[in-house]
Amino acid sequence: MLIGHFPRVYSARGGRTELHAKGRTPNAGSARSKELMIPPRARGAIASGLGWALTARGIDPAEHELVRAETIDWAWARARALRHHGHVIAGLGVMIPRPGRAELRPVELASPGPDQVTVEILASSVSPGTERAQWLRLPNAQPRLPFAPGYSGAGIVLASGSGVSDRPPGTVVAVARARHASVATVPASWTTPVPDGVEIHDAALVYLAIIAGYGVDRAGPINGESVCILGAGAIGLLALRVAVLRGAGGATVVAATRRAEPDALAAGAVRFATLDDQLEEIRAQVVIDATGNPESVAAATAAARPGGRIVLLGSPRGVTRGTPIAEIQRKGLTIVGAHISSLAVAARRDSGDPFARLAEEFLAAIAAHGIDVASLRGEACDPREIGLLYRRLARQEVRAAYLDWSVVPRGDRVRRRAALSLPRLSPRPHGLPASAVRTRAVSRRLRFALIGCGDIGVSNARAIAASANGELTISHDQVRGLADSVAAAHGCAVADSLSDALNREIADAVLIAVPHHLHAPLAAQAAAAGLHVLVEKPLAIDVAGARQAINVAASSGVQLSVCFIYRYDPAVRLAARLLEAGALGAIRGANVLFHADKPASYWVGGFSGRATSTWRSYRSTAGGGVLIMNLSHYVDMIRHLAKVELRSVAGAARTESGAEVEESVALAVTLDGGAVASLSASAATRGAPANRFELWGEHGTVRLEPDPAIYTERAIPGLVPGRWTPLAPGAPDHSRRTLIERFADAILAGSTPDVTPGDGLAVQEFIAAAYRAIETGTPTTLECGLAA
Amino acid sequence: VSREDLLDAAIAIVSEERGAVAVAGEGTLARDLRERLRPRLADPGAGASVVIETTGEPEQIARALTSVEDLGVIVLAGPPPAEPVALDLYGDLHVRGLRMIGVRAGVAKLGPG
Repeated sequence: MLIGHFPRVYSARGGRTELHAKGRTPNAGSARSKELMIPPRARGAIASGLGWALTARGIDPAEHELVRAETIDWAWARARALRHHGHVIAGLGVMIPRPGRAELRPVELASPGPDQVTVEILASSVSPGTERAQWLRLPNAQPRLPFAPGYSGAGIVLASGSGVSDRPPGTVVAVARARHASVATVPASWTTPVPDGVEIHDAALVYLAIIAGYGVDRAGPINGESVCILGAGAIGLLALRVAVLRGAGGATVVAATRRAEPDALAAGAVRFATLDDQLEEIRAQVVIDATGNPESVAAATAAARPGGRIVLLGSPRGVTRGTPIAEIQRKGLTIVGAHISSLAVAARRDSGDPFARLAEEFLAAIAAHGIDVASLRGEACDPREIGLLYRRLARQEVRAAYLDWSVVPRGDRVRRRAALSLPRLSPRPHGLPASAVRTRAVSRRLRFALIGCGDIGVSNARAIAASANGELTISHDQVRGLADSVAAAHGCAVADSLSDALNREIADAVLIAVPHHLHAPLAAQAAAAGLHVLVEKPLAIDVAGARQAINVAASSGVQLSVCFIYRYDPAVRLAARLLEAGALGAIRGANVLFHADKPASYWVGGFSGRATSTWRSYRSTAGGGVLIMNLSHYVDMIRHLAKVELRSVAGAARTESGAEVEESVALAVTLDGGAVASLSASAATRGAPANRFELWGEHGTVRLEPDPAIYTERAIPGLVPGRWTPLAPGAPDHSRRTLIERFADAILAGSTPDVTPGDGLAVQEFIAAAYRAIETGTPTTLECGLAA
Repeated sequence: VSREDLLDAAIAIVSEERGAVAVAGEGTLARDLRERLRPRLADPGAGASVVIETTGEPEQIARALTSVEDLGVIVLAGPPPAEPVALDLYGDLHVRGLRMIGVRAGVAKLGPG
C-alpha cells in the first residue's frame, strides 16, 4: 500500500491539496486523536479534565502539552493493542516539547497489527538541514509542538503482524520515516530488508537516500548529462552519489565553502566550486538545488545551461525574494519541485512503489560498492544527549550524525508494558540517590586536640565525636570555662596551656577554631610541634601569614588543611562527582549570592553569645568582613567544582558608618578558560533571603543553593539529559563530620587531605586581591600557579 | 521573439503534458492559445494540470502557481518581468511538486520532468 507511506495528510489550502500544510509537519499527537475518532466535545472534556489533574499534581503548565500528548500515545497504543489482540511495547524517543528543548521521552506502541512490523531501531539518521531548521523554527519548518523529530532508521524486526511473511523477526531492515526512537511499529511497506554487507548505520540513511533519489528522478533521465549539485550537505551529497550511479556525465558540486570538497570529489564529482566562482561557466543540463536557501534559485539559474532543468530538492526556508523569472524564460529553464511528499501523490497516481524502489536501489548500491556513504553517516551520537546534538547542529558544528541507540541500556530501549498500566502523568525524573556520598570508616582513630572552644569549636568537637575515625582527646581555650564545657560534653582532657595541648603524646592532629588573626600563628606553632593541622577558614588574615603556616608545616613534615566544609555537603559532593563525569563540560560562569541578617549581638559574641569577643569587627583580627568570613567558602567551592583558578577580580564594598569591616561586597571575577563569575554578599540583608550558588558550563548547570539540582545535556548515569535532577534530596547534612573523617582518613593513610595548603593559599590570594581591587578601584589580576 | 514563436513554443510544451489546460491573461497570445488548445481547455471553475501564464505580471505568476493542480505545470509565456519576482517556491512549487517552465522561443523540446 503506497498510501502507507503517508497515512496522514493535511490540507494545505481549503482542502485543495493532500500534501503537508504549509510550514507544518504532521504531528503524531493531533493526528492520532483524529484517528481515535473521539468527538470534539469529548476531546475538550478529556483535555480540560487532564489539565485539572495535572495542575492538581503540581505539574508545571508548560509541561501540560507534553503530558497530554503522551497520554494520547498511551491510549492510542492500548486501543491498537486491543484491536489486534496484541500487547504494548515501550521504549524511548526524542521529543521536542517546546522551542529550544529536546529530550528522550518514554514511548509506547502497540505490537504489530496486520501488514505491520515492530522494529528495534539501532540507528536513526539525523538530517542536519531539516532538523536544524526545525530546531531553530526557521520558516517552513515549524512543526506543532510537542514534536517527535526523525526521518530514517534501521534496526531488527522484533515482531511481524499477519500478512507479513517476508520480514520475520530477526530481519535487519531499513525503516523509512522512522522517528528518532528506540522502537517503531510501522507498516511493513515502510521497511526494506538490508542486504548483507551493509552496515546498519549506513542503512539508516535510507529515507534521506529516498529523498535524494526522488530529486534525481525529478530531473528525468540523466545518463550522460552534466549535473550540478548546489549544496554539500547530506542530501546534496547523497543526490550526487545517486546521480553518478545513474550515469551522470560529469558532476559539479557548488557549496558555500570548500569544507566538503574532498568528500564530493571522492563521491564522483569532477569539479568543486564555491558561490564566489563563475557559476555561468558550469552550464549544467541538470542543476539539483539541495541548499534549502530560498535565494539559491538564482545561483541554480546561473549554473544551468539554456534548456536545462533545475530541481528544487532542499526545502526553501522562506519566500524567494528574487525569483529570476526573466532569466528562467531567457534560458528556457524548467524549475521542478521535488518535495518528498509529492512522491506520495505521484505514487497514488501511478503504479508501483517508488519508495521501495528507491530504498532498494540505495541499499543494493551500497552492498555492491556502487556507492560509499561512510562519510555521510557522520558521528555516532548518544540519543540521551539529543539536546547537545541539536545545539551543535544549530551552530552548524555537525555535518552528519546518527543516533546510536545501542548505547542506551536495552531494558530502557525495548520492553513490554502491561496493557493495564496507568499513563505516566509526570515529566519529572527521579532524583539521585543520596547513598552515593558515603564515607569510608577505618579501624584506627585520629586523636584531635581542639584549640578554641567558641561556637565553631563546639561544632567541631561534636563532629570529631561523631566521626568514625576521629577522637577528641584534649581541648584548650583561653577562657577555661569554654574548654571545660567541651570536655564535659565529650569526655576529653583540658589543657591549661597551648603547649600542653600541642602534645604528640596526647594528640596526632590539632583543630584550630580561634579568631582569624590567630589561625596562621597557631597553625605554625602546632606544626612545629609535630601535629597535623586542620584550621578553620580562612587559613590566615593575609597571604604572608598563610605562606608562613604552609612553610612551617612543610618543613615539619606534617599535613595542613583548611575547614572548607561546604565541599562536604552531600549535594556538593554529588555535584563534584557529576562534574568530573563531564556533566557541565567547560565552565562558562558562576553566580554566588550570599545573604545574612547578622544581629548586632553577633559582633560582640557570635551567633550564640557563647564567647564574648569583638574580634569579628576589626580588620586586624578578622581580616575583613563578609568577604573573608563568608564568601571565602564559595570561592573555594568554585575552585573545587570548576577545577579552574580565579584570575582577576574587580569589585566594590559597602562599610557601615563607624564600622571597620565591610558589610556588603560585590565582585566581578574572571576564571581560567574565559569563564566569568559574579559574587556578592551582604551581612545585613533584612529578612535574609535564600542564598544562590550556580555554576554553568557548555553542557549544563548546577545549582547548589537553594534547592540543589543539576541540569545537563550529557548522558551521565543517574541523570536525565535535558531535565533538572535534584541533588541528594533529603540527605542529612553531616558536612563537618565528613570533613573530619576525610581529613582523618588522609592522615591515617599517610596521604594528603582533600583541602591542600595550596587550596587555602589560593583562596587567601583571591581575598587579598579582591580587597586590593576594592580599595584601589582597579581590577586586580592574580598570579598563576597559586594552588599546589 | 515573435508572438508566433512564443505560441509555437508554448504549444510544444503543452503537447508533452497531460491533463486540462488553463490560459491566464487576456491578450492576443492568450486568445490564440485558447483557440489552439480549445479541446484541452479546463472547464470554468475546474482545476487545470497546466496553466499558461501570458501576462508576465508578478501577481499573475503567483496566482498561476497557486491555481494549478498538484504535480502540475506552469508555462511562463508572458513578457519577462523587469525585476526578479517574490514567490513562495516552498509552499507553491516545491511541496506540491510543480514544474515551472520558461518559454524560450525556438526551443521546441524542453527536457523531461
